[in-house]
Amino acid sequence: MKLSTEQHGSHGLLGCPPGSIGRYVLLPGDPGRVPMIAELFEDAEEVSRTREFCAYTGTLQGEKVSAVSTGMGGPSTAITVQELAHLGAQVMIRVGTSGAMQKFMDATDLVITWGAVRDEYTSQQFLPLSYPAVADLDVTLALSEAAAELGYRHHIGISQSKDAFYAEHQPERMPARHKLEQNWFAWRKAGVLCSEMEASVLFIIAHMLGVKAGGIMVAGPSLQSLQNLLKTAVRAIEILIGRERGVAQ
Amino acid sequence: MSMGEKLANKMFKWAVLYPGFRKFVNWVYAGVLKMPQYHIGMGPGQIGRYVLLVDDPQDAEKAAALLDGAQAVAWHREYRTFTGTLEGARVSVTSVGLGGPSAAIGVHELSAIGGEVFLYLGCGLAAAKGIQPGEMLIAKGAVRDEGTGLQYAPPAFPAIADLKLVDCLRRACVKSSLPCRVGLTRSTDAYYLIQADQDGGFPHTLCSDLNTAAIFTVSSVLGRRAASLLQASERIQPLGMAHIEAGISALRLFIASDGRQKNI
Repeated sequence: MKLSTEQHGSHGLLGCPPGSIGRYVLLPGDPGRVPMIAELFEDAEEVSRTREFCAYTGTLQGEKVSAVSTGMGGPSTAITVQELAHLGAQVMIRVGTSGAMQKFMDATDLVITWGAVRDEYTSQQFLPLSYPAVADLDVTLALSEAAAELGYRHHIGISQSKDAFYAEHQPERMPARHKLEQNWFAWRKAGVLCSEMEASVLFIIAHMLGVKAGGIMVAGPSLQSLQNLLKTAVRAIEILIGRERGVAQ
Repeated sequence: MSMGEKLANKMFKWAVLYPGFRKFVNWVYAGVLKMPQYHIGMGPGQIGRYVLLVDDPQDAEKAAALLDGAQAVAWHREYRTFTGTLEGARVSVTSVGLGGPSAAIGVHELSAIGGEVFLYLGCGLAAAKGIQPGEMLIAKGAVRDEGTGLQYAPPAFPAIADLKLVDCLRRACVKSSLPCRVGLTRSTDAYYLIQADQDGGFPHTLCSDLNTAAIFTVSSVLGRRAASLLQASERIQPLGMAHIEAGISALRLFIASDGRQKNI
């Protein structure tokens, strides 16, 4: 299934040929995590590896599933989501790390993103800012069911999707320092759970294209929790597959 | 001016000028003296943890008939409240009037006296193509085409419903075999401009309404849960009984699965 570099042009920026992507896709930000996810699939094979995009496709319960990295931030996430939808992906779940924003959270907690603050510009080129970035109901319910089933401490709520990582982490070095600090205060006060960089773009574009999207994140950079998170996401996909087959029968 | 009036005048001026003093006065009024809230005319203990919200005071009475042992509590301005029980938990129904400004005041004051779960029942206007009048539209989120919520949270903040409550609404509709869809509503401030806007102005929404975005934003910011069940209709009209029953049965499902039942 490996592609040569010449073929990348004809298959968009992801370099995935038609038919190489499953209906269910996990979207990590880091290409290095794609092989890690693929280990949880059966018969996983590399489909493409180019730029920040890495794609593996395997199966879960006989259904074709993929893991594709989005790279960091809105623009590359938008490219990934649009190309994947074009390739036939129907359910996309963002998996990744984030930064906890509330005192009651531990760095090892999982956060299931039901909605996202659109603190980025990419999604505003698709739908006006007044639209809420909200995940799909079935996907989010499956994620929360999976997390409860596996017994991982998790929160369901809103994440903040930003564009500039270091404007948030080092606001004192930025000309618009006061506005940045004010925003951070506002999101925390409004009960936002964690800060990351892709969820709102995924939700808005998925809503626009009529595909289902969801998100689950670790509240800190813990590797063990990342494993728990991936297990939860894979279990959620199994739940969704099972439910779909139940409806079809 | 008498001495009492002079003192009241002084306190009013301080409350306007100094936020810290205002906070103190609010605490004394609501927390210590348990005085009624300014607009809804009720104090702590008069409502349940679960509150059904409707537009019209008349609809509040209709919905109250479906609660167990409902009693009229207060009727000030557009806010008319009945409190009864469902599944053993105290539940209230309050009318909040049309539009974000009055809905936000309603939700804010109800939150201050113990309301934690808000379920709004209203009309879904100018529904998208393919939606039949009478269909149930469950709003998981609202397009914030209104001003009230913007003063609670910046525009990038999502106006979204509570996940569990949306799930209960869908299960209730499926159980009573009402056709339903889950999606976005677009909340506007200008009722008579809805039809003109809806023709292509707000794609990927199910319908328009007047209250949902403000209710979602205010509840999120105050750490409360909310959801919205709309019925596709051509104009703002009294709620149908099937619609109210669907809301009540969703609330029953929610209460049954809710671990923390206070105010019982």
